[in-house]
Amino acid sequence: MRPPENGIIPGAESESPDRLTRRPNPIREALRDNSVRVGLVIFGLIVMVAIFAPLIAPYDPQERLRTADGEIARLLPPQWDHWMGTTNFGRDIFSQVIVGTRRTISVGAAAAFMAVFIGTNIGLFAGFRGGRVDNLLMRMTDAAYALPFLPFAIVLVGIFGRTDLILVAVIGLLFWRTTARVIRSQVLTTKERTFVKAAIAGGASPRRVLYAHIAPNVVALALVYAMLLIAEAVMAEASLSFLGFAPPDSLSWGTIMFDAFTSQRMRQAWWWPMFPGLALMIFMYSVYQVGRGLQRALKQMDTPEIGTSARIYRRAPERRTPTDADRIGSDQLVVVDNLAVTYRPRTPGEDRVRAVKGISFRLDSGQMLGIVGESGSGKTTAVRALLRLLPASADVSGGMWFEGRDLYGIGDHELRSLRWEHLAFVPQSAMNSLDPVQRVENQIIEAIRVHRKVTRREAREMCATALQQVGINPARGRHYPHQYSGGMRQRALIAMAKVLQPTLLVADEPTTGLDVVVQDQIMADLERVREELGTAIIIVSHDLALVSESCSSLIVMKEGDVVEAGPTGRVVSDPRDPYTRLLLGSAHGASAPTPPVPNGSGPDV
Amino acid sequence: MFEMPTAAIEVSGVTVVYSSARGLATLLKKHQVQIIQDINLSIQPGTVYGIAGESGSGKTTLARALTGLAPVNNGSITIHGREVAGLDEGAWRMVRSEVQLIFQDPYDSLNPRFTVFDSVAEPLRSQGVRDKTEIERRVRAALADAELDPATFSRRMPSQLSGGERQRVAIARALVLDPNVIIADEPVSMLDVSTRGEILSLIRKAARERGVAVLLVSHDLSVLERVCDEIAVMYLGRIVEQGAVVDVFGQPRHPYTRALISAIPSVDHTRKRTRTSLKGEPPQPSERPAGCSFHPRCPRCDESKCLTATPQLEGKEHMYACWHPLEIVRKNPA
Repeated sequence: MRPPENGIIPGAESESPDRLTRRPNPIREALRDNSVRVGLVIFGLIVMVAIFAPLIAPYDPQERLRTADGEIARLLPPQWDHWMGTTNFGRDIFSQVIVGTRRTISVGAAAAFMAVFIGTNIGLFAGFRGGRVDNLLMRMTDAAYALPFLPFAIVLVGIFGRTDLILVAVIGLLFWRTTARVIRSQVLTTKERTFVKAAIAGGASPRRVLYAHIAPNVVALALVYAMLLIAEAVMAEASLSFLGFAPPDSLSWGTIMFDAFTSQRMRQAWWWPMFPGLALMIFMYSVYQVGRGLQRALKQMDTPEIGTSARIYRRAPERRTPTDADRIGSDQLVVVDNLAVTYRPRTPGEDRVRAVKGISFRLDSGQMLGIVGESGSGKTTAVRALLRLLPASADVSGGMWFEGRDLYGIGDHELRSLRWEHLAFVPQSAMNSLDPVQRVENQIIEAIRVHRKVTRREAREMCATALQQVGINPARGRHYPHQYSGGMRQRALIAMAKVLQPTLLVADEPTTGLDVVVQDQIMADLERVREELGTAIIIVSHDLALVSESCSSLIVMKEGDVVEAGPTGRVVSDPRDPYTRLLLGSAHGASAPTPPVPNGSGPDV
Repeated sequence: MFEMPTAAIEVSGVTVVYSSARGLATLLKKHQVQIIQDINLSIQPGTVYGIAGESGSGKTTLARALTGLAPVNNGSITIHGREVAGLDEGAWRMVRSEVQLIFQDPYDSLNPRFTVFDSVAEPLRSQGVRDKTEIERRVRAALADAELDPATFSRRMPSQLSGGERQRVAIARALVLDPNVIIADEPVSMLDVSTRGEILSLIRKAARERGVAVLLVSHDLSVLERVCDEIAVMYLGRIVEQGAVVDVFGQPRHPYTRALISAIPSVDHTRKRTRTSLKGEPPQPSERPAGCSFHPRCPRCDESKCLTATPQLEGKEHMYACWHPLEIVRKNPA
């Protein structure tokens, strides 16, 4: 793990405000990108040119043109009549480039289609069958990688002659390899997904599992590769044509360049190879823009909750009006006054998402506060706002004071110095963010030494003490994170968070995904931190019973609103909001009476 | 052991062994790790049977073994009298309509490209049902049983559903084939607290009204307590205590069961519970302690048998495997 210099243990961004919105269509997502739009327009234009080439080309590309005085129009530089110039045979290069588009694109597209078809099927089959079949097919793929393109092409053309079919076959038979690998790895992951297991459990035949469940979820990728392969295939066609492997008398961008080269007049007639080359470049640009855009969109879809906007962002200080809390602010450790967070929509026209609609609380040293709510309640957003850790698309209002300082009034530098040393944060599923190749101990020591000028030995001692206090044998500090269980990793992170004795520790869902016994141990660890160091702790959780045991006060949130807040005893024994009662009803407790099961649909957030 | 004709599913002596070795080394016994050992249980139609345990206890492996997704190395599993342990993949497909599954992750258990209708219809189609009106009728019935309005939900895509709604679709999909047995592996652990109750009562209703035997696997004892009739507590691949829920929760005899129960947080502030006395976490199945597997963490362990001999399940209705079981305490009538 990077030494957490800013006091943040990098964790997966969780609660995204639009988690339940429609799953985006990759093509529509890609089209939001301007470079993709430009690429698509150019690509479309080029395809139109290929289709209507004879109508667009001003001359017959093979006709030997004559000038007004009857001479053959050899090597005319670009001019009004021939604005890409002419060849040494007096042919109009503009017409050649226009008509050559046809063959360039049809050979390229056919080869790309062939490569994607072969690659997708091999990838699907290898990934799905696994075992020996997979092994065999993947070694074949390796072999295809090992084949050098040009010698392979020369041999095939030498044996079968210069025909378009051979050209397509040469490219198709070689370039399926990348698609096969990518599709296979995608199948391997998809195969493990629950809905595939569910299909098998439903009795689906292997064929149905592959073609109805796995394939539709991976072939979107094939589309991306088809796009990128068109570029590669067009390039390959151009190279082969340039080397003279195209059928005689055929016309493509590559053959124009071949003619230019063999004429040995390239030095005088710069326009001759340049314009087909330029056409090739523009074509490649457009295809790559579209292909990469699709790839990005697909990648984002696969990780919808981590999207690019989830970068950790330090908000610029915001204007605010001084309030009463300014004066009170200096007395208490944490003062949050009417904090509200709104997310700006990603596209204009969509509504702003009001993630937090106003939350206020105060916290003294040694107190524990629980913020309870379900997914989408805004609980995580609220604490991230307090820590100034929201993405750029979030607008924060309200006042937040920590140790008498206005958290949104101080500069980045001052904030950085507060983090970790005074203000520690353990984000949700942080336990999966330890660096897998570093010993746990070293990660903690590094973190200490970024903030404190201590020797390595002192840091090691601090680390050992901290590990000990959370019930980890310091000797196990020398182990790597994969040798830890989930509970131990979470405890190591709590050790890391408390090692500098912060005055405030914020833990977001510290026990989610852990067993009850381990959960109990972790809550005990947190309580011990509070008791021994006097640290104030904020716990964010969906589990009301869990936090009610440790926290002295509770805030219950629902859809961005605070529905109930107060001392734990009062909230638990005399809940005033029906939603709190619902949560209490579903809050477990072996000794609690079985609650009545609520009827109808619960609050869907 | 005689066969009880009424049990929907009967499991006896089931053991699953994983081998960490590859190739010829698989012949050597020392690479073999017993993930679950000698599991015995039977579930009657219309009842819910709970399996409790921490991660690594083997509860998920047991669920997978009962559905043919994990190989059974020893023992027998009969579903309505038919032996299914050791069937190969093709033969299992014939039995699939009898045993259905509900998965933990509702966000991943529905094909993102299928509508709700298609997801629920999929098992029917897989079983070769071609008649459109019959598919329509059975899917609508299953959706209605899962308390989803067919008219509203049939055409929706999974991305338009909340977690609770997705899990209802998964339940409808499990019910559509009219199975005898449903295996639910942590069906509510990824749901919001307020929707858990509805999903659990739905599962219980399915058991009662359709006479399905449900095996419910969960690490959350409060979930099991709420819906199960009987329960088995697993530790390191073995059942350490099993019996009716009222007995096991009311009078836990195994120290591990009591520790699990005491670790459940409670909102009841009048009785302040003490934090768990268990230290550390369960060891790996490959490093199973000698004697009673639980002894390194057990507060009642003594130097005698616990370290050397493995306790067997004892008792008739309420069984437990412990050399020093907890005494029966008379409950206060309060």
